[in-house]
Amino acid sequence: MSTVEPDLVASRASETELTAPRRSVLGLLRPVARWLTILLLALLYGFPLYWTVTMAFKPLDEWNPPGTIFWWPENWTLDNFKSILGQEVSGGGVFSQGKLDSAVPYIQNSLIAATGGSLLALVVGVLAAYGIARFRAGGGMLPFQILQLRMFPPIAIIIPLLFMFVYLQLWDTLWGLVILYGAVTFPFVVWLMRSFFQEVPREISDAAIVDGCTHWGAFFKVVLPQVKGGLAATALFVFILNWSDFLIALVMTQDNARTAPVFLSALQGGAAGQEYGKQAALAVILILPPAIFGLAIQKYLVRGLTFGAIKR
Amino acid sequence: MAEIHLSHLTKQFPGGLVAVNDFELVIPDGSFVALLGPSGCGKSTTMNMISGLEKPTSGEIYFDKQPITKLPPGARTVGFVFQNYAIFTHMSVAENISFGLRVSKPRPPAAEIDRRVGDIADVLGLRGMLDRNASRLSVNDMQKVALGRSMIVDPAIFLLDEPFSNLDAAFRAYMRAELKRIQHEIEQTMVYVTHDQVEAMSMADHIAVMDAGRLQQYGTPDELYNAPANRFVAGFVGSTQMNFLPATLTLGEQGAGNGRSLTLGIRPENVLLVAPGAAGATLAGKVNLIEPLGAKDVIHLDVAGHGVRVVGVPGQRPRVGDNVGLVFDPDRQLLFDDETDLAVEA
Repeated sequence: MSTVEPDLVASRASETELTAPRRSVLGLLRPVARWLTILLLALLYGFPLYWTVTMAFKPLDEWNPPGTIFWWPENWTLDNFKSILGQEVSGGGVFSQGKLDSAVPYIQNSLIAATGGSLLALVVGVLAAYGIARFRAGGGMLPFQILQLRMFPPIAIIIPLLFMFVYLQLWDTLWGLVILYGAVTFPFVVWLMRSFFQEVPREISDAAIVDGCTHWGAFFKVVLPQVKGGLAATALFVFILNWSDFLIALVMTQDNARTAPVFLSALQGGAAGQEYGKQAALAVILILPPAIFGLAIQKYLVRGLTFGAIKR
Repeated sequence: MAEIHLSHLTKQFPGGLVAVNDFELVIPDGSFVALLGPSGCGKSTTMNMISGLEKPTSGEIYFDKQPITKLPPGARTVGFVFQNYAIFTHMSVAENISFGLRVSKPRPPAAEIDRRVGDIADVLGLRGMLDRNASRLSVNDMQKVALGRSMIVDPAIFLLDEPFSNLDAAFRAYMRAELKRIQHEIEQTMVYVTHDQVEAMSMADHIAVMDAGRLQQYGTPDELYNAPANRFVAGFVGSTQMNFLPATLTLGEQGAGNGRSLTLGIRPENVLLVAPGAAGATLAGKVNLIEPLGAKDVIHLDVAGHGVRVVGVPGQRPRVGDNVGLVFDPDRQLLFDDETDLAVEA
């Protein structure tokens, strides 16, 4: 560094002189500004979660009484959870009388549809991605043809789909939802997994094949274990997408296959209006499956999300 | 143990590129043969066809006179070592080495697998790290594991595709010697792909030089070095490249071929530097550049506009800009026809 051009050094020096008096103020302000920003962002992201979780434990008269805000539940109660899980609530007053509309079947529907749809997308998508990455199946344009399935808002095709599904007698069935969820998230699986497969050297599968594996054997014994981090990340991503779907389930289901998000939005009574406490309780329950899934595969997840970052 | 016979082997890729063109080669049982050539010459494609990873467009491959072109790779019992090791990083060292046995049908009993893994680990010096995760190994050990994995199925043929080119220089030299020792020990046919002529010369019994998908010459290292069949082989083999100078054939009496344009090839170590104008000096030149390599110098000369490299003795190092005379060893001069590039009798 001793060969720096002289005029460059000169210009730096004058710059330092100019900014020198302000530096102490800036030096103080900078960490303050940084922490303020962090705090603000944390509030922005954290507050809705805080509000939902506390709301879930508030009794009816603390939900949104006129003129007061309950920042913290004063009378903690599990009634919201009990009611949403179909249990009789004692002293629920007019608002819960005759309303034992349990969310349990809808949560079950959500679990089946989201799991089934994700599995379908993963099985088809992972195999397609391997075919594309390893054998250039379908030519260079196939990945884009698959991606264009996602290039318009789903609402644009939901009405034709509705007619199609009614005709096929798939409307308001779990099978129908599984197929739709699988089809909608399939392009994500292909694109994510394709890049993970591209990171695996071709010689890995070649070596397994020379050692006596078939292409299938090499794929399952050697290639797939190498991308398990990416597979875990993809699975979680796709599951969250399907789990949180509202629009498709709203249009494509009625009673039999209605999912929890649709049920949640419909949680309002004639007298009580929006049933905030119950909605919050259900929301807290609905956070659990993706959170548990995420924690369960966390070990693989970190590797999957940083996969491409490591130069080998 | 197997003899390999490649008969009129041709591989044309979709898109028209002919990677291997009418390739004919017999690799004797138990020999160590190097496929040598610049990158893109078709040597790796040839290996892939021997292993079965690529199907030839035409031609036939025989192992011990049996045609195997239609057999899948796993049924050929070849061992393949790749340039980038292709280690299964989600397995332990022992699991990597035993992979070929574990996927074979019928699968040998666990005790048998353990015994053979142990034997191979002893040969390769991997005994202490069998339980280690393969992803935690050094590059050097990874290549040993890859070698071990190819040995476990007792293959009749070993195929090694530039196996040591990612290793550091010291370990590469060690592994070359080690591989040669292992080859002597197990006496199996080994085919070794490399673009490094020093590696090919130092290890192989026979070398097949390839260029542009075609076999250029097949012979012992000495034959390639002393009697290259054509200009390509002459230029490719030898660590300081051979000098090529334009020449014209002049016969004493008028006859066929008189005045034919030729190229004279002479290796840098067969040129002697003398004082300019000294007796026997056929050409004069000027020193451009000196590369001191310790045991020898490589001296770059300008001879009437042509670059000529000469191997010099460090004790008699000229200076840059000196005028020198050149004496060619007449027994070591080679002549190549300019039209065919083939070697011609002097």
